[in-house]
Amino acid sequence: MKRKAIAMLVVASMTVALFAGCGSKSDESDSGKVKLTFLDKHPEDEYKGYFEEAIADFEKENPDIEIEYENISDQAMKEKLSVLAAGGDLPDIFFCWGGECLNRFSRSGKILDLTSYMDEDAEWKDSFLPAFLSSSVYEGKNYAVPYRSSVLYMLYNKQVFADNNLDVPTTWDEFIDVCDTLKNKEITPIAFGNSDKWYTMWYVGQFNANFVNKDVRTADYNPSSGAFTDEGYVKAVQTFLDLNDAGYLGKNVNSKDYYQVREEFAAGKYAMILDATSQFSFYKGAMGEDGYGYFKIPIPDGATGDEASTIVTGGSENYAVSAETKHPDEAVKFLKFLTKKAQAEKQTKETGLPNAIIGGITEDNSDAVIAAAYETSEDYDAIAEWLDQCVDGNVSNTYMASLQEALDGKSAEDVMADVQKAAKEVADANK
Amino acid sequence: MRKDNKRTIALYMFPAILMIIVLLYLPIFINLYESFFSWGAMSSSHKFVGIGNYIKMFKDEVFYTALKNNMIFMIMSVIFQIGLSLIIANTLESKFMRKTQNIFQSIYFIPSLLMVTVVGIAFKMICSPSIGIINPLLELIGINAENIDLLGNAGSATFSIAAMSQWQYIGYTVVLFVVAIQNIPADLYEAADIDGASAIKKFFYITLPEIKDTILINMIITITGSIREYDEVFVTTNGGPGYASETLATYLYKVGFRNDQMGYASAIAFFIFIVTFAIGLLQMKGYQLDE
Repeated sequence: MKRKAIAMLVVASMTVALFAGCGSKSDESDSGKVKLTFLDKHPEDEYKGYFEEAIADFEKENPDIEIEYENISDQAMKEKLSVLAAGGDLPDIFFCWGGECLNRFSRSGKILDLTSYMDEDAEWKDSFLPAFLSSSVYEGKNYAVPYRSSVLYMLYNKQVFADNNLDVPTTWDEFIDVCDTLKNKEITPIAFGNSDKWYTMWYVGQFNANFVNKDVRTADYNPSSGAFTDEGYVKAVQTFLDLNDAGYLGKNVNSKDYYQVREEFAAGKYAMILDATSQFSFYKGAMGEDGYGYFKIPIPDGATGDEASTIVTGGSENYAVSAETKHPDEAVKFLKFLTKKAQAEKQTKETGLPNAIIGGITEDNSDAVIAAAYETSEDYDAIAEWLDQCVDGNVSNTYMASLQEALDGKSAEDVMADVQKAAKEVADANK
Repeated sequence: MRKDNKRTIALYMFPAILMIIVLLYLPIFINLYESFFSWGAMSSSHKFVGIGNYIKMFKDEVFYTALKNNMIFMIMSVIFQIGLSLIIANTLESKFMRKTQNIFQSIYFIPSLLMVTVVGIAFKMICSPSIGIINPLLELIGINAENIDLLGNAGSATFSIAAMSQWQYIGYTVVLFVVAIQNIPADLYEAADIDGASAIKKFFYITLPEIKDTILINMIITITGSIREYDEVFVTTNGGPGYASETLATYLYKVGFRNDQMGYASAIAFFIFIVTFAIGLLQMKGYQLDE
C-alpha cells in the first residue's frame, strides 16, 4: 500500500514537472516591485546604450517599478509583432510602427486606449508633432505615442557631385539628367539593394502618394476596402522600374541589401541614396557633417495625385501598451518619461534618432543638416506612412515579392494584378 | 503479481504517453480542425470554410513553386548525401586511404557542426556578385559573370541554397556510412579477394547489401529533412527573389505569421504532415520487407 502511494506520488510529480514550463509568467519580481516588460527594436550599439540608460534613470526615479528590456532587430520586430499577438502574450510596453501595423492591434482591442491619459495631461498630448501623433490614432482614439519621426529624402555624396560638376536637382528632369551624366561616367547613380524586399516600398510608397489621390489611397490602404485598381498605382510602379531599367540603380539589386549599399554610398561608390531622416546620423558618422547633403525627392513627370507636391513618405515609430497589462498606470508613466521634452532631446542628441516633439530637433541636439532637413519637412503638409507598414501584411508581402520579381523582368501591370488579387482576398476576409 | 506488474508499468508509462498525446498528437488534430476555418491571430473572425483552404492551396501558384523547390532539395540531397557520400565513404575505407582516413573524415564532417545561420551568411557573401568570390572566379576562367547572381536570380537561387546544404551535410552521412562499412565482417572481403572480385564488384555485391539499413535510415533523414527545409532558405534569400526559392515551410511561415492567414497556413502544414507521414510509412514498410 505504501509503495503504491509512493508510485502515485512519483507519477504525479512527473506529470506536473512536464508542464511546469507552460505556466504564465509572474509579473511581480522577487523584490515585490512592479515588473513591466518592454520590447524594443534598437539593438545596434549606437542606440542601445541610450535606451538602457533611460530605463535605469526611470527605475531610479521610480524605485517601485522594474523594467525588463528586450531588444531585437528591425526585421525581427516585424515578425515578432505578429507572432506575439498570435500567442496573445504581448509585452506590457512594445514598439510599433504607425499606420496599419498599429491599427490591426487597435482594431482587435489588443492595445490600451491612451485617450483618457492624454486628455488628463493635455500638455503631454500637445507636445507631439501632430502629423506624427496622428498616425497612431484609430477611430478618433490615441493608441500609442510617437518617440521617433522620420521623412524620406534623397541624399547625395557631396564629393561625387563636386567631382562631376553636378548641381542638386530640383525637378524630375534635372534628376534624370544627373543620373544620365553619372551613368555615362560609369558611376552608378543611385545606391539600391533589395534582397530584404522592403527597400522598393520606400520608392513605390512615395510614388503612390505622388500619383494617387488621397481618398483613393486611404480606401485602398484600409484592409476592408482595398482594391488598388487606380491606374496611378501602375504608373508609380512603372516610374520605379524605369529607374532600374535605365540602369540607375546598378546591377544585381536583388542580392544586395540596404545596409551593404549605404556603406558603399558612404564610401563614394554611388552618388545618391534614398533614406530617411532617422538614419541621417549614420551618414554623419560615416561621411562627416559636410560629406553628404539632401534634397527633396523630385516629383515624377505626370504625377497627378491631389497631394503630389506636398506629400512625403515618412512615419512615426511608437510605443504602445498592451491592453492586458496589469499595470497600465505604471506603463503610461514610463511612456511619459520617454517622451517628455528633455528626455526626447537627449534621445536625439545621444542617438541621432529624431524625436517627435514640437521644437525637439535643433542644431544643439542634432546637427545643421538634420535640423535643416526637419525645417524643410515643414513644407510638406502630409505624411504618407511607410507602404510596407501601412497596408495589410498580405498585401504588403505580395507587393514586395512581386516588386522583387519586377526587378527581374515582371511588368508593372502584373505587379498590380498580384496586389489587386491579394487586396481582394484581404477585403473579403475582413467583411 | 503479474497483473499488478502490468498496472505498475501502465502507471509509469502514463506521464510519457500523456506528454506525447498532449504535445504531439493533439496539436496535429487541432491543426487539422483549424485548417477548415478562415481565421487570423490578429482578427476576431473565425469562419468555417470547409475544404476552402485546401482548394485555395491547390490553386496557389506559389504552393507549386514551393513544392517544386522541395523536390529540388530532395533530389539533390539524395544524389549528394546518399550517392556521392557513399562513394566518398567507400573511398575513405579503401586500403590506400587507411592512413589519411581520419583527416579527411574530419574535414568532411566539420561543416555539419556549424550553425546554419553562420553558413548561410557566409554563403550569402560568397555568392554576392559585388563582394563575393564566385563571380570573380568565373571571370577568371573566362565565363562572363555579368548576369550571374546566384542568390539574386530566380533561376539559380534554389539550386544555390541546395548546393550549400549539400556542402554542409555531406560529411555527416559520410561518417555514418564509414561506421557502417567498418562493421562489415572483413572475411567477406577476404573471400571476395580470393575469388578475384574487383573493387567495383565488391562495392555492389558486398558493401551495398551489407549497409542497406544505414542507407535506408539516411534516406529517411535526408528526404524528410528536405521536405521540412526552412532554415537555409530563411537565412539566405528568405524565399526571394519574389517567391522563387520559397519552400513549403517558409511559405507556411509567411502565410501564417506575416499574412496572418492561420487557417490557410494550417492547411499547408497538414499537407506537409501527410507527405512526410506517407514517405515515412513507405520507407518503414520497405524496411520491414527487407528484414
